[in-house]
Amino acid sequence: MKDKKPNYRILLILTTIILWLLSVVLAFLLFLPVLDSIIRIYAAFWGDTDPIGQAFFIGVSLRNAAMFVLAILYVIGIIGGAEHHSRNFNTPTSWHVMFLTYAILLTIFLFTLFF
Amino acid sequence: MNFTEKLFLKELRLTAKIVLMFFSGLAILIFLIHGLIVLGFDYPLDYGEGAMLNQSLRMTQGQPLYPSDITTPPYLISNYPPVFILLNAFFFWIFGPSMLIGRLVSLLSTIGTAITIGLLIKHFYPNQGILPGFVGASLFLITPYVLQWSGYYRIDMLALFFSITGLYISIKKPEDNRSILLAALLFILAAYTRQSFGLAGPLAAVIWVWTKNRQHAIKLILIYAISGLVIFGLLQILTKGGFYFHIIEANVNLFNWQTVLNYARQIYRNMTWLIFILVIYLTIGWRFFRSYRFLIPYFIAASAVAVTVGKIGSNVNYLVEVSAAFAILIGVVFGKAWEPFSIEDNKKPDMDFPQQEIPGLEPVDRKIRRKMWLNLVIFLFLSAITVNQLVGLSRESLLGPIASHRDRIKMGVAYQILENRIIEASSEGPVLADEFTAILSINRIPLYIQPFTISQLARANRWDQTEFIQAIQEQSFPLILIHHFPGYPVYLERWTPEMLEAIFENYAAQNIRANSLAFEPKDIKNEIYPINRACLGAPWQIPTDAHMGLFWYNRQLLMMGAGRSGEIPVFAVADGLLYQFPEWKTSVAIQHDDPFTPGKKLWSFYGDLAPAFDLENAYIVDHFIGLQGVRVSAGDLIGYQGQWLGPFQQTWVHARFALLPAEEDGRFPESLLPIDDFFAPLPSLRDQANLGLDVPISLTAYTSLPQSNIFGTMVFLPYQCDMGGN
Repeated sequence: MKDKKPNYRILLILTTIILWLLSVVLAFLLFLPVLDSIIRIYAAFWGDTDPIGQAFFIGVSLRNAAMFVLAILYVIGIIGGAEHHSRNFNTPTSWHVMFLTYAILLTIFLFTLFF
Repeated sequence: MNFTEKLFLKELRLTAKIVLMFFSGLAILIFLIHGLIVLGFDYPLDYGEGAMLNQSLRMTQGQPLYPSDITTPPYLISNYPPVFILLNAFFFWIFGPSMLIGRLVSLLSTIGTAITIGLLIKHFYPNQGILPGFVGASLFLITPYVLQWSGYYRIDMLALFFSITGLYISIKKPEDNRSILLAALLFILAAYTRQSFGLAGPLAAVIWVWTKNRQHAIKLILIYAISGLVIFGLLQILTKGGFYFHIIEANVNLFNWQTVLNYARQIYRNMTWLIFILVIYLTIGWRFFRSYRFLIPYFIAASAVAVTVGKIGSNVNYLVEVSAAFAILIGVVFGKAWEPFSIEDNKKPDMDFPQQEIPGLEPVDRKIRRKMWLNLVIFLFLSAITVNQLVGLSRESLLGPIASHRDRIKMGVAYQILENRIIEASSEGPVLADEFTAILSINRIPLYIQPFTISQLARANRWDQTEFIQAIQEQSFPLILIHHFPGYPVYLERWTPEMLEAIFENYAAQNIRANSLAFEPKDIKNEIYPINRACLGAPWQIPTDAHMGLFWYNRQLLMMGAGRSGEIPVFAVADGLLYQFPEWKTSVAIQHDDPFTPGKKLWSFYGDLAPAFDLENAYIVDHFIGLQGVRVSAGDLIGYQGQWLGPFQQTWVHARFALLPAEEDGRFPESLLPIDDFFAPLPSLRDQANLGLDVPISLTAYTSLPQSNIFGTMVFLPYQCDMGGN
């Protein structure tokens, strides 16, 4: 991956940008499924059939709180990721963070798939 | 080898580790949340908790735990050896009786067992970090049987902790004398916490130690066997023979192979991948795994113990030891899969490259590269299997024991009402209870009988129930609580038919709280009770027995009989013409002449005559199915009570009964045809009146069965005659 040729470097830049952008989109798309999965687990512990019961309102609050936390993590992730990749372009640490990002996305995707 | 190849080799492995760590962590989190919820709940979650709590309480009161004579009250059996009971008695002595103590011991024992499983796996793979042990421990904790039992005031998890810890110590230092002594001590504690835990652990340990040091193996056997027998002999002498009777003789219940088969199917469904791994391990494991020498004997012995789940009254506690074996298995296999094809250190490429510079090409032998890729593929494959299994067990725990405990805990205030009623009744005489015996012990109310164990003895002709039945007939008990699970009539196992008959003759269920029916003595001076399904003076008879009480719901009665689905007959209440309309599957209706208004017609309706979830095998008598206008007489058999409540719902064994108006020409009202479906929205009384139907019809006037004015919710009514007549 040594960027000896200009074309090769452009290709690497494009690859990095596309992978970063894809991670941003995928993470965004996982928002709602993650919230649904959290609520499903919550329901197994505290769920109730009462549509206006305490469990329902706590569930709504939990969902809102989780949304807030996810949003913060998302912003940290995309801005931090972009900055890290731009500062460490085509270094082992940049590729490591890229893998890490996709590993986390895969984990979250599996979580939403199974729960 | 270039950087890209190194990157993929390293980071794909990391990806698998992240996924595994996440799902293992999630499993542990689910386990801990459940544990904390259960610890915060003050009332029983399982029938057996009451017996355990009572035994500890009796010890603090200086009463015998294993009385040799149980022909006089209290009729109590202590099924288990005394270690757990003594431990809890000690805490009771300090803090007083509570559910929290025993449950905390159980929960901590489960966590301790998981840690020991982790350490055991780590012992075999010290260079693989914590992940294999972590995966094994989390898989153990999230196994539904373990998770369910971890929160109960029961002995099993402590016994398992002793057994697994003894095994770990003997495996870790088989050559060390003190370790052998300590392991033997732990095995004795395990066996004297619960008899059946004295088999798998010691057997596996002896075989392992035998392969290392035969002298120590013999020492382990001798210490364990001799000490165990000496303690047994002492307890026998101290209890005048009662110890053997209580823990051995009184434990020999009837056996049902169908139960074993059902659990085997359940294990296969829940642990398919683990069984797949076990089969491979069993076949070729002896070539590759050091752990084979102890794990296979452990599996065999634990499975043999698990088979005894077929005893009537058994539960998933018989499966916790085999669950531990599966957890160890996944850990050791995972540890091996870390790097199945070993590569010498000096031939490995440098994977710790600098973070800021892309490393150059490094010459690596093709064979080494192939081995590295093969190792990665195997690691990823096993990780995928493990994640799948972890997720499957997590879901099963969430939908099974966790949801079940949630539903039980949600009943909230019903427990307090029940507790107050028990305290109030106990001042008048002994209170009998099955599922909620623990509530008696928490309030220091002595137990009179343990219904299940004593009933099993009576069934085996080892206990004479005459005096007890006589006491029931004399209405000596102000309150009898019989638990009535909606899905399964477990009370038929907990009480003998003779006991139930005496209760139904002399007691009536007055209400239901937290699914427990409160039977109180029949007040024959002031109330009238049905005799042979009829109330004196009522024009029509009662369609079916409802010894377990009645539920009033939207002007219909759910009549709950005592028996299994398909056993309790339902009869025509009066002469008439029977119809099973084409859109009906589980119901029939009979058109009658109105005894109060000559020339007018009205309908009696009989619904839910089908097994749970099985529309095709309704309990309606064959020669009525699909027919219309068949003449029947009062008392003719038309079907049997079932558990059907809809395609996706079941409930107590019952028949649904209602009296419905007829159209002017006597036909069944079209607007009421959906009544076959319990959940169908039917027209209100006002709507029916607007449609020209003559409503309301008093059920009490025709049958003397009680009714209520409440609409929209289920109201419990006692099975007695209401002579108000309107």
